[in-house]
Amino acid sequence: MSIRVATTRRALLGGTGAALGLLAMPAIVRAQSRELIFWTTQRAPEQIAAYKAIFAGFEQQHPGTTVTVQSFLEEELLPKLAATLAAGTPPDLISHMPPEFVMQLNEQGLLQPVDDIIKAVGEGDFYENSLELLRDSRRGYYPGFAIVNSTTTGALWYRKDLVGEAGAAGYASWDAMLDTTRRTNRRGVFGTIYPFGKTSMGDKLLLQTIWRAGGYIINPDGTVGFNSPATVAAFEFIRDLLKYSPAGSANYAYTETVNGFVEGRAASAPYSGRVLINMQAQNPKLADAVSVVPFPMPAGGRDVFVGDFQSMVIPRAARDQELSKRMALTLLKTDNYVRFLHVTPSHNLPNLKSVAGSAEFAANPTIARYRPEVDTMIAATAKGRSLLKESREHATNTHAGAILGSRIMVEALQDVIIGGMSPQAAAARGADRIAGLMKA
Amino acid sequence: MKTPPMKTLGRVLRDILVWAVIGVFSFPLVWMLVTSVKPRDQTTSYPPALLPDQFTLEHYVNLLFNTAFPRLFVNSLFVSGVSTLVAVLCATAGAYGMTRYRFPGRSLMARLVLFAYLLPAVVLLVPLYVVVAGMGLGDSLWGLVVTYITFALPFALWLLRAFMAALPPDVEAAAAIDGASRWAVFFEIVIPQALPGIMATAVFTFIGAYNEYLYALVFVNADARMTLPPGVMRLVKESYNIDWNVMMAAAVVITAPVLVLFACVQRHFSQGFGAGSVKG
Amino acid sequence: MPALAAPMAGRRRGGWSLAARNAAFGYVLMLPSILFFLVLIAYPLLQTFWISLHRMSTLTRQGEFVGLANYRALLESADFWGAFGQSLVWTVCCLALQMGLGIGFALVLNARLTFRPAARALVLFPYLLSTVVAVLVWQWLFNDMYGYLNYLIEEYGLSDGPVNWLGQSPNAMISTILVAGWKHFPFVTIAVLARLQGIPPALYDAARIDGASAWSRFWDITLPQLRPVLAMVIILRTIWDFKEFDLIFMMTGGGPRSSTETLPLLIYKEVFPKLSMGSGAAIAMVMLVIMVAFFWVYAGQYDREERARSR
Repeated sequence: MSIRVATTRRALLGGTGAALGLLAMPAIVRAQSRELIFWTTQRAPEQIAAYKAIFAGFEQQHPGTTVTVQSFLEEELLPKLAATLAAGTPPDLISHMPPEFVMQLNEQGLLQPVDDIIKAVGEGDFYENSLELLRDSRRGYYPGFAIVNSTTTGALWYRKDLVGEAGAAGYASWDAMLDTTRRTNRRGVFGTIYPFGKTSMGDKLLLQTIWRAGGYIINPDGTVGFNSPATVAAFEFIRDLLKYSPAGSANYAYTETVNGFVEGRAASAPYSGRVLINMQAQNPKLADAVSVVPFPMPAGGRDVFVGDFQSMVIPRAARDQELSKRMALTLLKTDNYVRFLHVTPSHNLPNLKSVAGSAEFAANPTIARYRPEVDTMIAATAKGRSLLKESREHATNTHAGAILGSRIMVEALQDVIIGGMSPQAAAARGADRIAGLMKA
Repeated sequence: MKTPPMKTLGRVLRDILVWAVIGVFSFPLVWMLVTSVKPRDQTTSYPPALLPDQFTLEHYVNLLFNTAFPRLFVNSLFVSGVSTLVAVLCATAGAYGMTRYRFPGRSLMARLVLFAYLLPAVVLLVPLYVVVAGMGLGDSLWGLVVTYITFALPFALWLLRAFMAALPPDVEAAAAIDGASRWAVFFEIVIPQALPGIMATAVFTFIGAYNEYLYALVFVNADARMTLPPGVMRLVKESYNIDWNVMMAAAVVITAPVLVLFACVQRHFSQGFGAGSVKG
Repeated sequence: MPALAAPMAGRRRGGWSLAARNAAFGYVLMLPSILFFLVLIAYPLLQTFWISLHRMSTLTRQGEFVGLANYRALLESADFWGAFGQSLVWTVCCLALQMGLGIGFALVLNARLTFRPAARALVLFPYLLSTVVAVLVWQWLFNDMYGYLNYLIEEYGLSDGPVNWLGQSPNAMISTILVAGWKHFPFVTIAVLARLQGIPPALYDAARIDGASAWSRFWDITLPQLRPVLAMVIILRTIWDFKEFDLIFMMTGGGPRSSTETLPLLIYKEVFPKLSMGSGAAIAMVMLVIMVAFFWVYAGQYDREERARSR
């Protein structure tokens, strides 16, 4: 009898196991033919190649999965996400999404918390400024985490040779920059490139110029601060600067800016460390003639930069959250992380302290060659903030994504430069439009 | 009677002037061709060279082997080919029905076709986006095929209706008298007679679909499924390093199939054009 | 006509009259087209209207019914009226340019000309180009650093510095209109040329015998003969220019500022970058109403033509 029972129990156990296995089967079957979709806004061919190599390792560890890497402009991210959500084919993991968009999506309940990933890596390993930025304090979780801690606008690249020839003072302040720009400007070479196209670059650079003039877009008390003397001062400064910037600057974004500088057509230009990579590859003659300073600010300004904090998120609609998390963790493994960072050394700076301080990260010919420049960028990065939280005193502005998406800020600058509006009127109009968005 | 020399001189001068103007209007095409075979260093130098010292095909090689261009090209041919096929098949039947058979709502139907033909794509953008997603065809080439029918079908119907109306009805009537069924008349008499018109319509429909940008931009995300117009615009913006030589090579290659197709139906062009798009 | 009546009477079966069977066959032939129309055009148009009554996010495609609020907001929106004005400027200028160039080239190409077939092919060429190709080529010509146009202008001293073709207003609008004119005038040329070739030479011969000057021949013979085709071309081009999206979007993206943002671009901006489906749909409905008005004019003209021909 007891034997029978035991048998039965064993059979039962076995049966339960089999049933569990069966229940798990669909997942496995699904996994065997799973195409995982990874999105990024990093689009350089060598970056795409690095992603593909990293995910090749992932595919080996997860037989039956294939990872497709797709790259978009920042401006395309939300429209494309909308389209795939509607089609039921959302990406499984998105990297390098501007943090303002992260919180905008989170407000609509479209993102999965990533606390597990942060814990698995170690919460203390992330830079604090990035964590505080992306916390949904109301619901108590992180909808995303910054994968980089760098700034595309904080660094101003310049040509040592041209500045030297012109006997110019350099770029220590707004006045110095204007003077140097004027002196280095001549036929065929522009004094600077100040992009103000209706793109994220145009918005970020303007935002930073306003911040460094001491202004805010939204005041710490939540009122709109765009219509301020700082904004007006920024407009006036940019208007002066644009006399020495290429004619098409009103349509410029990242690509045009880095191209113009790398091809030797400008004496200075704001950009990330990508300049170093492109310069060495496309125009090595000038590779020793470039250096970098923090983008200047006027006397009495506020020493902050616009940080990128481009983030990694998992859409709530992603089909297999577990696989998405594993993809994220794969990218965060030190060797993979460093591998990715090293294809564009100093362009993306790591957001993990352990990686930033590691010997592996430092062991790169470009970083070694341009150590002072890289240190300048790291110092600027440490002062990086986002429109999400313009200062420590600000509450998280969940409308920041909408403000960026509408390009109201840079349009106000275009009102001044192209529309011939007075800086005061443009600031007032921009403030009204921002107020309208904040109400929505 | 001899032409007086003054008159001849005048004609020569006029011809030269006219050709100069045509030259100015064709300059973008010349510039496109020249840039596509010019070495890169002569492209970004200042001043730019009108004619390079040497010609190179490296940009074409680059385009075909180092970019996503071939994929885009194949996708474009697929989407335009399939949507043209569907649209022209439906439109051949529909246009014949509309021109030769009287039924209630016929003139209303003709009105609607014309209306749909003139409808801006952007007006249908929002709901099509929902409809296509609802069919489970989002982010796919088939989704594009479906959306392209929204403009390809009315266009083909409208062109073919004019072609069909211009066919003499006598032969059909004679065949009907001889006892041929309606289907037999359609397949054995109407289609062969209308074939040139059908071919011309197919070509114009194809070109329209091949050039379509807005729907392709919105409905497709994956690089692997992108078509030429948005795909090539992405190539421009993607690399942080715009290679104008390769872009001009792309422009030449994109144009090639259109030219070939057009050459095939060129004889019917002004006929179809005059009859279909513009009555008069 | 007994020969005709006999077989038809013989085919009468099932109690259906000949007319009914013919009608049925007509419907059968139309059926696939009708189905596509219902699913892909009629239903989406109703959807557009329905969505325009909602405040709806493109991301979630869910939203609350707000009645006519989206329309009310449009009437108060500076963006909308700006785009409306730009659409007007765009359409009128494009039309004028295309008609002028188109008719001019048609007259020239209808006259005697050395290598006339080659000339016709070259003139036709821009029309055959894909919009993306036209945009690439012109952006390359307009490029502010390496563009050939600026080189020519500086070389021949037409301007002190480089011309800011696309980065300034109203330059961007003008440049884009020039490109649209260049790309689409051959349509006018072809249509007009086809008609010109159909004018009986006898009319001109008679006029010449009467001693009419070239100008009066154009005025009294050519123009009246062209009038119907010109009417059609003007309406068609108006409709097509009014709804142009691709060329402007790829050329300028609506910028700089909003100086080239026409209604189609505004719809795109509302729905995608701004993720506001409801207000995008409302603008689409407004465009639809305007299109219906154009359509009415066109259909009326079309019917007049049909009647004139069958007379």
